[in-house]
Amino acid sequence: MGGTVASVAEVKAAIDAAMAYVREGQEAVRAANDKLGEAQRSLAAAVDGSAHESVAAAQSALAQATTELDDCMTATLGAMEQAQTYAAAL
Amino acid sequence: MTSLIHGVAERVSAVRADLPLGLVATATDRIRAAGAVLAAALAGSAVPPLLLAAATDHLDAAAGALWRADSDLERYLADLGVAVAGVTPSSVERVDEWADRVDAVTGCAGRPRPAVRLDVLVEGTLVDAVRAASRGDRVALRDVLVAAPEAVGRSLTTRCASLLAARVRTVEPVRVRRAATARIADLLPGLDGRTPDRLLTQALLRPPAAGLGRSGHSAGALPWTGPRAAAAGGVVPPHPRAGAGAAGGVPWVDAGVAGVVMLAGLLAVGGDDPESLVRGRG
Repeated sequence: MGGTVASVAEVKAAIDAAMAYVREGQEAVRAANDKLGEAQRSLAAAVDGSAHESVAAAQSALAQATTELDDCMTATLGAMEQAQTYAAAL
Repeated sequence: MTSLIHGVAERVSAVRADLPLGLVATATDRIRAAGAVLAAALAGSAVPPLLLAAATDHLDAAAGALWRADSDLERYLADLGVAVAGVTPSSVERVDEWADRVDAVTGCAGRPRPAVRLDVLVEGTLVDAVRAASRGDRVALRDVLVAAPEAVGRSLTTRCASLLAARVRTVEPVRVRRAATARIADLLPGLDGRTPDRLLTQALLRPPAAGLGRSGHSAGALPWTGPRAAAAGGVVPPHPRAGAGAAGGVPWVDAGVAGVVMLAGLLAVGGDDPESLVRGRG
């Protein structure tokens, strides 16, 4: 298998380009996390301790979204480290 | 008392309007683009960008959770007895971007739309849409899709990209293009003719996410991937530095709708049912 073999310089340039995309993605994730935090605080203030089932479900879903965004950020950081290690070894 | 309830409703509605669905979609677009570039550059190497695929899966899950929160808050407002017309959530306000484009791509503009269903999830929408596409029922396909809120549409697009990446590996390379595009002309008369090849190229270059598309085939077990496979499938892989856009230059709605129809075509090759697309996904 294997397609057209790219030169080391091309691979490094592609990794740089990919990491630029990843950084943009990370910025969006951070912004989303900030907005999500605001949403959680605003919701808590709005419902002020309501035990309504739908409110509890919404708060749980927002918490899950936060966890997923955190996990996403961890994955992207790992991907960047992996790519940098690979690029350095070329 | 009434003003107090309306005050709560306004604040809850503001929370819904500010849920960051758009930002999550943007992040998904950027990271998927990174994955496509890396996959092209590292084809044949021992360093697949698996972590980026995991990242987009987390974003998909985050979008789903946000949509659930939105639906829960909608139900809360309904239980309060507050008329929510005029304080609709952002995801519903933006529905026309999704539905309008679905109408255009399927050639159904002007036809009465079914009501948007706030209770649908991406899995159900995916299965119903693929089933309609498998039947060759263009109007049913369109009705299923426009009944889904935009947030579900975005998740559907993300899911289709992952599933296509898995499914193309279950079909012989020489049959991929014909199978995937067999229903496009009939079902999507308004689609840009270059879109299927662009999506196929992305699918062939993208590593399939683990656990997606189980159907009795072993997705990923067949080495039909990478630029050579893309060429064998009749599609031309982009240059690694071609500046892959959110969906290779394909608008996200188009990518989702075409992805559904292409999945239906690929399923037909293996005789698999639409439910196989969501089976085994926790």
